[in-house]
Amino acid sequence: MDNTDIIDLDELKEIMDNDMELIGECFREFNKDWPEAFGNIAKAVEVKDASQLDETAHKLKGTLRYLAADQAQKAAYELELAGKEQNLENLEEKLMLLEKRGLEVVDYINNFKA
Amino acid sequence: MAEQDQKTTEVPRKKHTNISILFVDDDKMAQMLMSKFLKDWNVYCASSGQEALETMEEKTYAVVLLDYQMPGMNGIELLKIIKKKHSMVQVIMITGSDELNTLITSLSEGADDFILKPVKKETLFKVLGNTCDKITRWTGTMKALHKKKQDNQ
Repeated sequence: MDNTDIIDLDELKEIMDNDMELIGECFREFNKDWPEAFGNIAKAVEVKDASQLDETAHKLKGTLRYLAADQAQKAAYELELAGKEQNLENLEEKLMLLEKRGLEVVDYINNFKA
Repeated sequence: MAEQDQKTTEVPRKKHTNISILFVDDDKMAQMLMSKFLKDWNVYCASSGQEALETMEEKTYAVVLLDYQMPGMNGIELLKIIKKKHSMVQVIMITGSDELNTLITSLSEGADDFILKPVKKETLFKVLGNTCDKITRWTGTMKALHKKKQDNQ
């Protein structure tokens, strides 16, 4: 996967109105919040709480959308959809994919040089 | 971080920046963006429907930018209450492209406009500009009617 698939920088700049300072702030905020955001989703998966899964995955999806992190956003959406439809099959697999995609975003941010 | 390498979107129609806007979304990143984009406007961010209603009791807002999915009261429930209690307030819904049913419901419940996520500054200013133009026209008409009524007395 190349870096554009993790975060589409052109799209991100468009969303953030080419404000590199704002991009930096949002990156720091994401890396600070990621463990808790993912942990909340993992907890909902663990206890098989569909409503909580919908809520927590939706929230992370929204954040990832603002970061133009398409693949991670799609992984969060899969879990949100599972929660919405109360389809609690294969949740662990979907959660693992989200963790992988999310950590790619964290890694991208850590190595980001404007 | 490096200096900005491209031109940023200018604030359109400076005359509107005195209009007060309430932004309701529990997403911290969306709040950061909105605070930055609307730094020249009179904007307040609320993280829940309850907080939005409380602040609307204390202060008058002309425009509410409203996210749909929040913990507790959702955007549609909040929209209904706002339209019932503050009918002149313009409500702009913010929804994802995967929430089109929500968008249709919100428009049928009285939402005045919408913006798809992720909210981009150019789109935001365009929609806000149109909404503020509408408010200005209404205010002008109301003042003219009031004056006419007074002149006739």
